[in-house]
Amino acid sequence: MAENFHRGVLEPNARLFAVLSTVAVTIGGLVEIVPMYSSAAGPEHMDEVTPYSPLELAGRDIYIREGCYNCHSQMIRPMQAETLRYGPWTRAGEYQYDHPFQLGSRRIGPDLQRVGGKYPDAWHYDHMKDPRSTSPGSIMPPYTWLYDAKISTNDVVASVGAMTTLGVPYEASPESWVPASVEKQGKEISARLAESNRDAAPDSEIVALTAYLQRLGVDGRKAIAAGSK
Amino acid sequence: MGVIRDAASQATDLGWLMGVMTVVFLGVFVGWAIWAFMPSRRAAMEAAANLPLEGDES
Amino acid sequence: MKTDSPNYDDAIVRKFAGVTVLWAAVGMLVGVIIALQLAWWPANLGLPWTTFGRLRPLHTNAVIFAFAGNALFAGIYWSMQRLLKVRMFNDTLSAIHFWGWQFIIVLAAVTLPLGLTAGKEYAELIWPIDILIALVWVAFAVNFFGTIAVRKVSHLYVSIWFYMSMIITITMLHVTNSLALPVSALKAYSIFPGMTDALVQWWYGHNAVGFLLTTPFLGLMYYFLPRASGRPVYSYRLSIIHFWALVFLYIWAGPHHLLYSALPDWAQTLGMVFSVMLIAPSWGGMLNGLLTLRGAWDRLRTDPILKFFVVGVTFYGMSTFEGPMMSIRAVNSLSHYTDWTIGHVHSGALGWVGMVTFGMLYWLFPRAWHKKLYSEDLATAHFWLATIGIVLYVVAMWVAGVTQGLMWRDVNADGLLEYPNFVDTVTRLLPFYWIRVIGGLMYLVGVLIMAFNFIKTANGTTDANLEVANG
Repeated sequence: MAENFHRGVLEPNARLFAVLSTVAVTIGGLVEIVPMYSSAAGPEHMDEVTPYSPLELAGRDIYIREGCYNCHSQMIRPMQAETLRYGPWTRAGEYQYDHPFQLGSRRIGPDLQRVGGKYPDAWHYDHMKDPRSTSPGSIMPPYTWLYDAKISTNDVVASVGAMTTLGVPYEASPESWVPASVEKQGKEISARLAESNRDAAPDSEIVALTAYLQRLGVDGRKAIAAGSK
Repeated sequence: MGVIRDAASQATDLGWLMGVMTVVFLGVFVGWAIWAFMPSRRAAMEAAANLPLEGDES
Repeated sequence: MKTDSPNYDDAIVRKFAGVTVLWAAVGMLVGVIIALQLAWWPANLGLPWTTFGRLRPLHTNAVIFAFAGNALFAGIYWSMQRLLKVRMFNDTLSAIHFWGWQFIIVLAAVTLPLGLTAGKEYAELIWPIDILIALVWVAFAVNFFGTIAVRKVSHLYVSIWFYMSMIITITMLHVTNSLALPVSALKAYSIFPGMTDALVQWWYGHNAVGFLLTTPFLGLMYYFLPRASGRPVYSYRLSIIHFWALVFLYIWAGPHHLLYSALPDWAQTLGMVFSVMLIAPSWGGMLNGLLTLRGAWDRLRTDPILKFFVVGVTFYGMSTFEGPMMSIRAVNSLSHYTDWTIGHVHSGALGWVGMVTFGMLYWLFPRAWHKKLYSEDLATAHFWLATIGIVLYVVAMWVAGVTQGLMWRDVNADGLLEYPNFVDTVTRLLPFYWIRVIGGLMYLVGVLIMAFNFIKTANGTTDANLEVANG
């Protein structure tokens, strides 16, 4: 009974309908995303913000693996209460080498945009092992496995290579310089931890994660102090 | 990326285009609403609305 | 004993409907566990695989893609065959869609606790799984458009429009947002840098809500609500007008997730303006749904299916008012980063998606299995547990969110923070986190009751008579 009965102008032509709805859902995204690649309308580049060191990049991978963004933001809003608590508000250029972004959407814990340099390495060492030892009342779980697990230098070389492909300005041929860089920075942090009687191998995950956390917001803070808008 | 960057820079200068597009989209919407509510379409609309109620057997 | 009509493939509907119930229980169980972890941290168990940071993505992915996704597919496969009066285009594609999708879910359940993640909220799955999703989605799309091509009813009922908008838009969103450079078989880096990555992600994230959890569920509403109530939709004209307005406006609203961020101002403003405009088409849909029941309100007292639908559509109206409100900068400055957002998404997920799905399933199960529903009383009990559970959840999160937002911004007369220690703004929330655990647990128990009811229904001996079969 229904055959050849329900007729309209537009909807019987399913192909036209599909095309029109594709157009309708595409316009908004194009108008918003394409200009992000324009120098005039997109996020401003910051010369002072340099790429993460290879060890910091390895630490960032651990940060992503553990899903830290589920509880911590990296985005200080331009409001008095936020800048009082966390420091200068975030500029877009501070993220220019972040693949993927880690802004986060919920602060179950505090913002980490400018946690770099806020505490000594030993604080992070203690905090990740037992959050309540440094922050009484914290609801963060302990991350005890980071102390035995090791990072792989080969993985870091591959990561730096991939970032270079994505346009992050690292030196060429990562295999020639990344292993030494990882070892050097790892030993520095490990030595600082040893001075305060904390034991961590230079290639342990906790050292890499500490390197990343201690870097967060540091370039931006310097740039802003030097008068960057 | 340079080509996209240049094209995007130019595109964002086209403020007048945004105005024109807003008017166009509004026009399309109003036209579509008028079309849907035309009295001559009433019977077809009611028939379409009854499609789910025509039972499961074909 | 009544059997399937040879004209339709209802076996695939039974499969999707069955796993919907299974994944609902799994996804919501993980939800209750992570809610407990926030109230009582030792519930993280001290293991890498069970910490909040790894389980929360498992919860969101399970609920969105496993529970809501399979529910959609069940409803779509049932309704589109009947609306177009034709069997699905290709049974093999249907099978690939079903088994492929379940395989993806299992992969997600294994990889996410292992910490294998892309690190983008609601798009955590690693690149090989992303590719698999795209392939299975294409199989579904070919099956869908193929069915339309061989249809026996010329007019495409409005539900089909909503389904089609989902297939087109989700393809675009998933492919774009997942673009990444593989580093290894298990790891890749997003090709978009920083702020642009954030914009692409929230264009994706917001519209995954829009085109997976909103438009296709409106499509289900436009089919199953008339079926369950025996009345045609209140205004078919309104439905086709609000369809176009909704799909056109929705896609612009993503930047409201990045208000006050370093995203360029023009993009933030676009996101805010379009979000506010979204109230109109959203409420068009809500009113159309509720008014479909005009003159049938008395049946609400006795019919659990209509109860689920009415509460579901009402929550849709509520959260589509709340959402635009939270997109206004002044409100967002308070609500952003707090549990208010969590409450908002759950009034959408538990209230709208969950309740509409349950209403649909209680209608669908007896018809797809040709058996009488085992117990209407249990269905009504499920309804009340779910409703009270949602209210507890949403109110607790609303109070927690506003409380914490106000504490964060509290600056005293000396220009100093009133609560400089962040932990003080967390411990204040613990009572509300316990209320959330209770609310979530009630919702989960409701789902388990439904599962029991359906198992008894499927194993029951009572044939549904024709009256039930034709609804």
